Amino acid sequence: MSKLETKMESNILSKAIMWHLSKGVTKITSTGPNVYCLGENENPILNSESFVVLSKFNNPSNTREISNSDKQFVKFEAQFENQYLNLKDHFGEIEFEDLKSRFSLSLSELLRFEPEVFSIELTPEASVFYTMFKNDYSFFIQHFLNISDSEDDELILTSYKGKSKLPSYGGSLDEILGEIKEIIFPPSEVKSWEPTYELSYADSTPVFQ
Amino acid sequence: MNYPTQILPQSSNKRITCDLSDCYLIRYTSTKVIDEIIDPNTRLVRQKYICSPREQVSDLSTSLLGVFEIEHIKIELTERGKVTYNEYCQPDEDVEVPLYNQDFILNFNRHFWSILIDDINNVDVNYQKGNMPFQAKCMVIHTPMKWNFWHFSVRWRVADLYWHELDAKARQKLAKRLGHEARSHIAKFAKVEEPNYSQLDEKEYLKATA
Repeated sequence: MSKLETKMESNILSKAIMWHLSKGVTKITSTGPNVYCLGENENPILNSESFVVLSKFNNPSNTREISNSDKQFVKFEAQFENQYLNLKDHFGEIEFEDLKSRFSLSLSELLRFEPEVFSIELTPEASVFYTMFKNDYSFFIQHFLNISDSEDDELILTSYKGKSKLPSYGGSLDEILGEIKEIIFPPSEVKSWEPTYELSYADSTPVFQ
Repeated sequence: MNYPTQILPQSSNKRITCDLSDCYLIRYTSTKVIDEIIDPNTRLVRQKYICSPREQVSDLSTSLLGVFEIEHIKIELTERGKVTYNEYCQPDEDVEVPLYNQDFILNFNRHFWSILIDDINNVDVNYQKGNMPFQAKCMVIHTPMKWNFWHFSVRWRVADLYWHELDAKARQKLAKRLGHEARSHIAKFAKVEEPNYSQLDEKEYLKATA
């Protein structure tokens, strides 16, 4: 297998992706229609622009995955807007666009986990209540959209494995995402790389351009 | 229409403290349309039907299924009835029978969710990481009301106190977390189908006779 190097295009990705490849293992990821592959010896540095593009992979099979994710995002955004109309008196003076942008951020991050089942519901506590099933886990995440005190819980996570309750957690969006990731991908099972951004993964035969 | 007096407090009643693990709590929903109550994706009870906006989800009102039957969820106090009957009381309090159309009506646009007490009672809540680590325990408590002897409250014990006994600042600080726990746990375990329930043994709610 030839060595390939990839350049992360900063105009596509707002966060760096930490990759660590096992020797001889090719890991492929995609964003949009493009699939990128990292070489064997690369130890990507966060936010580095030191990579050089050698090739891009066309991976049409990813397009459908991305499209489903986008469709879900649009669907849940529409649900948010509809539900907000019935509960807007509970959301205080915060502008709707502010609320929606906060919601959209947590929604997009949670959809990255590719849950098997997913739902949203606004509550009178000025929050969006997410329900997410993945593998044998049930996650209930409540995102309070009107937080102004940095010491207050922005999100609260409750999770179950089967019927057994796991420890709960309150904190920021990043902290909650980290907790969910630890549950779904326990550290002992982490493979050679760990995605930190919204990407779908597939193995495909490279088409060099 | 006569009020079902078997659900009223009576002088022969005592507070229920026995093990209720195999019993069910029931709470009405503000619609009878099951497809509206259940989320089509998760098949769980929607949050809006777990608790109404007017109530505090961290101190939730329910009834014990048994002598209190499913049909009794249709009972709705009028504004006049709430003044007299929507209060906590002693289990053996003498209460005048509510009058139909004056103190109560029947709301036929209701369904219910029920939950096995064993699924919710004594559930431990554990916030270990991050800011404000704390532990709490969910408890199902018999809290008779003048309109309903079989009224039970789902409450939270934090250290040696119930949440509602904490000072205002502590209550507010924990309200979000405990409210979330209640919502999550009930969503996880509540069902809208009629459970297989039976009446409590009389010795558990009637005073011993001489």
